[in-house]
Amino acid sequence: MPRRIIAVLLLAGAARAAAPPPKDELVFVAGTARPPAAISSSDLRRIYLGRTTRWPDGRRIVLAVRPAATAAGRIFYDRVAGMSEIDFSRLWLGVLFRGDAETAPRVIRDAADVRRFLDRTPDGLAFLLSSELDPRDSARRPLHIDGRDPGTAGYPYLAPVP
Amino acid sequence: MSPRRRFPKLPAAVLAALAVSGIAAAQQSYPTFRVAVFGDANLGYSTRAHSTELELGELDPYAQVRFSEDWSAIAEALFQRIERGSSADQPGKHSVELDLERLFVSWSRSDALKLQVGEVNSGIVEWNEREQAPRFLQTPVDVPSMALRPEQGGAWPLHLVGAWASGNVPGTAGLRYGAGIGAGRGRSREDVTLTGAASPAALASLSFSPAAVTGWTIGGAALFDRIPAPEGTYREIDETLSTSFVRGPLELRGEWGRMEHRLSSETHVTTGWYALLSWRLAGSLESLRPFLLVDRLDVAGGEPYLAGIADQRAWSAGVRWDASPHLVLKVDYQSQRARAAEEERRARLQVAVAF
Repeated sequence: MPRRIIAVLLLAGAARAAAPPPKDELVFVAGTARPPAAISSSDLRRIYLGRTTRWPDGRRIVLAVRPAATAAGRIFYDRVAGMSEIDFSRLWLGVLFRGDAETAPRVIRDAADVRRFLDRTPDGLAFLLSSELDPRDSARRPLHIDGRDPGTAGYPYLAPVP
Repeated sequence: MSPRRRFPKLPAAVLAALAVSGIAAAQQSYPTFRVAVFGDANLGYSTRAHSTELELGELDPYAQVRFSEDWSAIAEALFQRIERGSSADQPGKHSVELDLERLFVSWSRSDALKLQVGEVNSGIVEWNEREQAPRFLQTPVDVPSMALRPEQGGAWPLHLVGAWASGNVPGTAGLRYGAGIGAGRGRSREDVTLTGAASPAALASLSFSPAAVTGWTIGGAALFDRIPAPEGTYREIDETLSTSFVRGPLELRGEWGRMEHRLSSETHVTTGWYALLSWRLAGSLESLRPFLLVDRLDVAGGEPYLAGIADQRAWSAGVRWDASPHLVLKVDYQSQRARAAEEERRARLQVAVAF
């Protein structure tokens, strides 16, 4: 009997060692005034490039971004903005100069500050890694992008394996 | 070992500075007020004349007031050093001029419709529409000839005093439209005014940024004007086509324009185009962006209204260095050939700042 228990434990340990690490993803979360919504990746890009400035109900979108020095920021500039952080900053100087948007995206480094931003900015939009979502906060749901939920196959913003 | 300061922190600092309020702020309260200044200076060395020239370029302050989510106003001025009468018949005269670039009130309740009333960009030249005046915002040293302002020797009408409507049409085509009506050019190229000899002008533009090709935009614009010039009333019809592909490190831009001026039985046609290629380097060289600009302008010969505007055959190759959030340095080598003139070759340094 002890031999059987040891074998089961060994098998369980081996299975755990062989299992792939949980996948991390870039998830986009809207402020408290926004119900969970679906958006296309191209519309998301338009928002972050300052071409779309309002939610469908006409309220202005208040954006937050993370620096490229963070893992979330690296995925954002590479996969969403499609440009370097330098070019993104220059682009937004032009957006503001033309008067196309009200304010530049706020730069927030820490995930906790992003969550605070979303709590206090009903019309906000920000991003986190899925591992940075607080599991106790069931009310904060990521946006569906291109018809996919984070964690499902085909979700466009999978973090690269370190 | 002390940690090395990495450049990517700097653009983040730009955005942080641009964002009016911090994390603690909730929704925006009104009114808000923003002031910013762009400026540039240029140093050039001519390999033909073996002369060095320092040009204080432009100082471009602007202010924006937001009265509410829907209402705002923008005022932009431009201090620039102008060289007048530099053609053969008159010695060059240099002066610093102050021009009002934009002054308008804007209303918008959705991205589908924005209305602007006042002095606005005409929208006929996409470079002017996108980059506006500051050299800080553009990749190369030069503004392409077809995007030069009239007082700098540009041929196209870049401003309109009137009303401008623009907006996005939802959908995967990324359709954007613009339409404007108002006073166009006056008796001289530099006159755009509601008083005196104003001309009725109308403009329409359309562009597409299809979702299927991320980073690609193609568009066109047309402008109609009646110019009350001293030699008679010109009927002006301008058309431009532009395209750009900006994705990852790559920036590709091109634009073509045709300007037709009809005066009784005479038709004068001016054409121009430019192409820009630039590439953001990677890794520790990320702050550098090499570029190549090809610029061409063929001015209608014998047209009094465009007198003094020279043809352009130029290319320039150089690199833009984003040294800090407020400072950009550009160096290039330019080959320039104008009508009936010797080829000019110059090495140049441009310093552009933003505050």
